[in-house]
Amino acid sequence: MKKGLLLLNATGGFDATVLEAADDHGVYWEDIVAGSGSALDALGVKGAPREALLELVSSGWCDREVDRCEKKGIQIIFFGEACYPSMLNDLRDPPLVLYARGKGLPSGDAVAVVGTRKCTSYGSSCAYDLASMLAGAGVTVVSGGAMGIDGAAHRGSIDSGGRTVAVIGTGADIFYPAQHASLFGEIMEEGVLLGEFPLGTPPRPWQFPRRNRLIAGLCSRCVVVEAPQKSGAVLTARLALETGREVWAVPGRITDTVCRGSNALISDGAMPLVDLGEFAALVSGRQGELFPPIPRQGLSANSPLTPEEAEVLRILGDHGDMTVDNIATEGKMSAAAVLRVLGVLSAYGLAVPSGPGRWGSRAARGA
Amino acid sequence: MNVVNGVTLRGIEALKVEVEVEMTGGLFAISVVGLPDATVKEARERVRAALRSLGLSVKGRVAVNLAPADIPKEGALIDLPIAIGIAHAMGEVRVARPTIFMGELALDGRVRRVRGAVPAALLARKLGFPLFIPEGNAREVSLVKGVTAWKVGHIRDLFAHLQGSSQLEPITPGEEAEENPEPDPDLSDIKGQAAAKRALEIAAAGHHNVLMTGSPGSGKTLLARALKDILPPLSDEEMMEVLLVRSTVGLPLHSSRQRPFRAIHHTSSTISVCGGGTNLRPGEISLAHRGVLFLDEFTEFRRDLLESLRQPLEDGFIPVSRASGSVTYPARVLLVAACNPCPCGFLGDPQEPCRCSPLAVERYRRKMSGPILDRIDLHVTVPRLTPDELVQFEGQVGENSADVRQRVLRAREVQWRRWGPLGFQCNAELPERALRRQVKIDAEGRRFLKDVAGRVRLSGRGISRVLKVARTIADLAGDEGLTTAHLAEALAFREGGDLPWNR
Repeated sequence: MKKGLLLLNATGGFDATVLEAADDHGVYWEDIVAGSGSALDALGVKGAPREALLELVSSGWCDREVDRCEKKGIQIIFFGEACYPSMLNDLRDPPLVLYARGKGLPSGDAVAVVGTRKCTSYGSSCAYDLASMLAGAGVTVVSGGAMGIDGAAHRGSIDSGGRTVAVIGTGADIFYPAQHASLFGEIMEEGVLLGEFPLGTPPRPWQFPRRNRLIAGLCSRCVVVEAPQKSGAVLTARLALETGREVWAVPGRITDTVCRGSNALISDGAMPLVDLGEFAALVSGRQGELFPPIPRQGLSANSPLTPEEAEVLRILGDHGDMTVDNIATEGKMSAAAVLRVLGVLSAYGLAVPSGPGRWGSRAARGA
Repeated sequence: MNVVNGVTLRGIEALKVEVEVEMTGGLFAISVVGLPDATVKEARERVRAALRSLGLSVKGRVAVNLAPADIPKEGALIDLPIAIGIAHAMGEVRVARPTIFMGELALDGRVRRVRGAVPAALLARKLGFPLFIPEGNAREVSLVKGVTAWKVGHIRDLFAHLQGSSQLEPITPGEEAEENPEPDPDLSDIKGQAAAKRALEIAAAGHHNVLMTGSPGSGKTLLARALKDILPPLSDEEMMEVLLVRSTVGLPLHSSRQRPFRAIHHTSSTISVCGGGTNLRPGEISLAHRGVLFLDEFTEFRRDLLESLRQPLEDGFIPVSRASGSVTYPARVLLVAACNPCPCGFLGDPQEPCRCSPLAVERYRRKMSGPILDRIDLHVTVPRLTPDELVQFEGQVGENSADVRQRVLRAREVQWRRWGPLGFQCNAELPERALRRQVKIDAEGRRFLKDVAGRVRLSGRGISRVLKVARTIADLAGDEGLTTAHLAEALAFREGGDLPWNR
């Protein structure tokens, strides 16, 4: 049966609903693995997928695939197995097979943090901070392993020692985007890379919307950080809604196109995420005070903020993005002094560059 | 001993060329031997016509030998010595002692301006020979002290001078070079941009190369141009080096002590930037010697061009080798590179949306790494100011270039006193070993640096750069030891330290 599932999965057009059809028609899995015409007819396998399947059968692909996975340490999880994530059963079309690479699927509550690849520094710092807070509260972060928001979310979770799940849209042996190769390596140390595509599947545009349903299925809450109107993240939110998950969105500036989609979700009834700490408390079911908004993470107790540093942070917090000139004027400091302070604050992650020559604070952590 | 001499250029060096003339009877012909190039061969027509204009008609076979025979001679500057050599052989003029002549002849006997007058003057000074130069070159030669030279407007006057019937006008040492020319632009003319101005001040003080990143219209070029005026004025020696290169190329000279500023475009050929060609001309990097070399649209430059800039940036000179020979040109420049934050230029801009895909930005970023980036100590991003901000800065008057330059000068003196005995001039030149041994950091600063280096993943080289820049910041402040404050400011200028897409 397992081989049958692998084969059907590899043709790309089937999900777990095919199992019912198999039961209804009394199809033997051995027949499928053997490529029997009548069995395939009964399941409605025809046209190009059928040819592809027969090709795979005749070339002995199944055994090779299993071998390769064993060699690379990739676990194959079949629909109906005990370790198959039960959350995915909520989907209309659960995958037949999952390829898992890493420490195995984390149990417990999971939150999806998704958003655009073309994010602003505000978006990526929100995603990072949110993920690290969730990780601190013991919540698994699920995302898509892409550039931008996804990457920031994974990074935030890892940096706070959390477990994170990257749902990938390629074969589990391919790291895409290639820039995230090292990030994926770190994800696998504690968390897992998860995908439904056979090994060696290259990135193709239609695969990514397909993997989005897995993100929607695996989480209990889906947070959209920044997404333009036509975006995979908005699609994920829609799927999450259909699957019965809570959808949250981080409010963005109404003038920015990268926030149109996420803001539209809010106006359509998604929950606005306005306080990271409260959200983390809500998800983990613990008290809010357990997660103090720690903007001075990194600055050790014996080196607290100097008055100058506090002043610059206050100015950045009050006004948002500012150039060195504005800070100097506002704080009545010399440019050199401002740069000195920014050098320290940025090294400790308290101030972030938000554009060429502009700086913002990490106030998103709440204060 | 041969008395009539000309010069030919090899690199920025002038070589003495002895002009020997033999005249025999027969049909009229002039032949020039001694590896003349095409311009020198054509000299015979100009020389004949010029002498004819004086009523002197050359007859018989004329053999002109340019010695030493194995050095290629180039350029029209050898016209005049050939003419004088022929006249000398004919007995029309008498040259009493070894003399150097240079100049291009017009058919009517006028003497035209040539390139290479300053190297020739230096040669004449070294040999102790008197020098005759075209009138057009008088100004540059007047800047060379201790040379006996006359300026020649027309070959007729030179003949008269040599015959003793009248005197040519000798060249007197020129007026002292202007110390402080008007800065263009002045730092106070640039509104806002405090971070970039501070970066330029540090760059000028420690001779650190700078990379400026900013959207189009943020003022990167203007800032780069302002840098030349906060650098210390050229010293006598440096000025002579600058003159030498300019004179070799034949560029007009200005007698101010302002440092050169050369901007090169990314479509420039390697030869135009590094020097070369058949006659081994110096390139832009040598013209920017002792000044500022500006690479706008840094990411657009071809990799091989940047690769070829790396060695001169390290050594301060550039060897130019071609089939026709090999020369070395000076190339000690302060490099200022500028680029956009992304292909469309508006990544992170508060007003204009960026239209680049993440992949395009990533690819663009990757282009920014490479050979030259290792030589850049200061990274600064330049904001494109919004109209509101510009209005806000309207009333304020920033520091002017002269004040900044005073601080730079003081910092340079401190460095010179400290590193002079070790053989360096400025902090940017410090090798790794000297940096580790000679730069003293207090205990707290050391702790801070260790902590931060781990946090922001500074590489070993990154730490060295931060240390060098921090040393310059301390020198600007007049502090002896490095403290946390200096290191913190240097950190603000580290590579990738203020890039919005870098997390």
